[in-house]
Amino acid sequence: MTDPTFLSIPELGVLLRSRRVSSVELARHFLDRLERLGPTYNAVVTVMRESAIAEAQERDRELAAGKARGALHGIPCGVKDLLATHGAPTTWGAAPYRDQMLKGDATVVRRLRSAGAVVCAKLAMVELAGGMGYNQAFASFTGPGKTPWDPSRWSGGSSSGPGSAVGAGLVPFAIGSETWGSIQYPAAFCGVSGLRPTYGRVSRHGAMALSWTMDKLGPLARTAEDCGLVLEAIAGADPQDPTTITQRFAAPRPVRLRRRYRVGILRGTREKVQPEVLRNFEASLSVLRQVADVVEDLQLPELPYDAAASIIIDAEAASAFEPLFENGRITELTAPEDRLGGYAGQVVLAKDYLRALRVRRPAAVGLAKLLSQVDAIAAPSLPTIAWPLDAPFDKVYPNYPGGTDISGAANLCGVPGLFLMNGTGEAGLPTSLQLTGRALGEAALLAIGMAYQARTNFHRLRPPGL
Amino acid sequence: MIRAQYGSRLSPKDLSTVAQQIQKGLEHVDQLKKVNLANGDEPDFVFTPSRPQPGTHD
Repeated sequence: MTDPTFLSIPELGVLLRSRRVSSVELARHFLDRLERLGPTYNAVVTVMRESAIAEAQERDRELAAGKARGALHGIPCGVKDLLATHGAPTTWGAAPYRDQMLKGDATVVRRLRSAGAVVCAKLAMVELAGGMGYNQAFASFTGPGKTPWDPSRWSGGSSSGPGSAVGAGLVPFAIGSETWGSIQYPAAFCGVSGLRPTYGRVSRHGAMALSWTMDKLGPLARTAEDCGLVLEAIAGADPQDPTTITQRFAAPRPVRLRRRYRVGILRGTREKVQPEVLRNFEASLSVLRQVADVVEDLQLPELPYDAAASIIIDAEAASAFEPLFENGRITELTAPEDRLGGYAGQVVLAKDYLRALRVRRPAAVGLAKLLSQVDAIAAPSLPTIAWPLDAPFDKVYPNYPGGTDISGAANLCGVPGLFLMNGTGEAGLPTSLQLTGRALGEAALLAIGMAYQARTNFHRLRPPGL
Repeated sequence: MIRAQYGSRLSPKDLSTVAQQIQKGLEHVDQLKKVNLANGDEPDFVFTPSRPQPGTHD
């Protein structure tokens, strides 16, 4: 059998449809890796061997009968353990919920299966998706997430398991979530491709709520093309999530680009990043210039994006997790700072929360105006390589806090972001390129990302020893 | 309010930490107050009244 470990979704699809591998064989391959290597990276909460094999057998029967559901038919995957899955615990990464059994499947899980994907595992995450203010990697009852590039360093979070499982070849793709940075960090630190969709693009039904107005679900995968194929399967209106958008999403195909794109750079983007991060960013721009006009010196309108996002998350998380404060089980969280970090949210004044929501409108209008000038804004995903496991976040790389950061504005305003490995930096660890786009502008981001990956090989690099 | 509701489980050091976090939140509020908002600038959310299910009557 061709080694499928680091193949993309289309490559696996070719093997499946040509009968060179069966869905059951693929499922067994990745289930074995999840069980054998998952603990090395603290990447896995629950391996779903029995249900996954049954699903794979059904996919094989369908293929034998000439029925293929689409690009994801027979492809194994994992989901962050904040998505409800019938018959398996959904722990939210938090000790108080380690035995939680939820009824029914999250809409995303249902859509993955409907598209033919085989759900193999619930993947680890930072407790409560990081909503209590964690400041260290050891913030989950399953242990600190570790990047497959160096297990003495953090995988990033809160989608730690989706990042490390895809990076280590434990699954071809996974579903993560982002409220503010939770796909961005694991994609960057684990050297994989990640897509944060537009808010409302993907149903949140059955997903743990951290912030009802900021939570987004999206894929981590080998390539930008893979991310598009997964998004196509999970996107769309859902009566069970009234914030979902009705506009359909079709993944861009790897064809010749029909036009030159415009990529903008914010003033200050290059400041205070590691030298290797800057070097790789400049090299990425050189590649992007083959398909895009690069516009320098754009300015993010001056508004308190981060402050508004912080207040919204604090207030909504305080309400979402109020039972943990009422019953006192907040004290069971793993990271000591998480046991205290949510109290401030309990006393956010209603008028201040509403002010943050009111500021969001001019912020979204200003950001949309800026983004209307380009197809994407490019920046380093993060100013440094992956952080050491044993240091508080606010103490690592103090000299490299990064320059102008669009992620707070992007998450506050719900616009999409694509994260792609763009080289290696200090200690041979991944660096990453981020592309931020207009609301519902995922197709342009993905097309640019696919053009970038067609001209580079970083998405093909494997962590040492894997 | 935190002391009244949860004081029995929080040490003086914990309460001091929480106070610092509340202070940080207030600094965020101060930043928001610098944005001019008119009376008609609504919060950016949309409330959709639930519609009766087909076949149901008041």
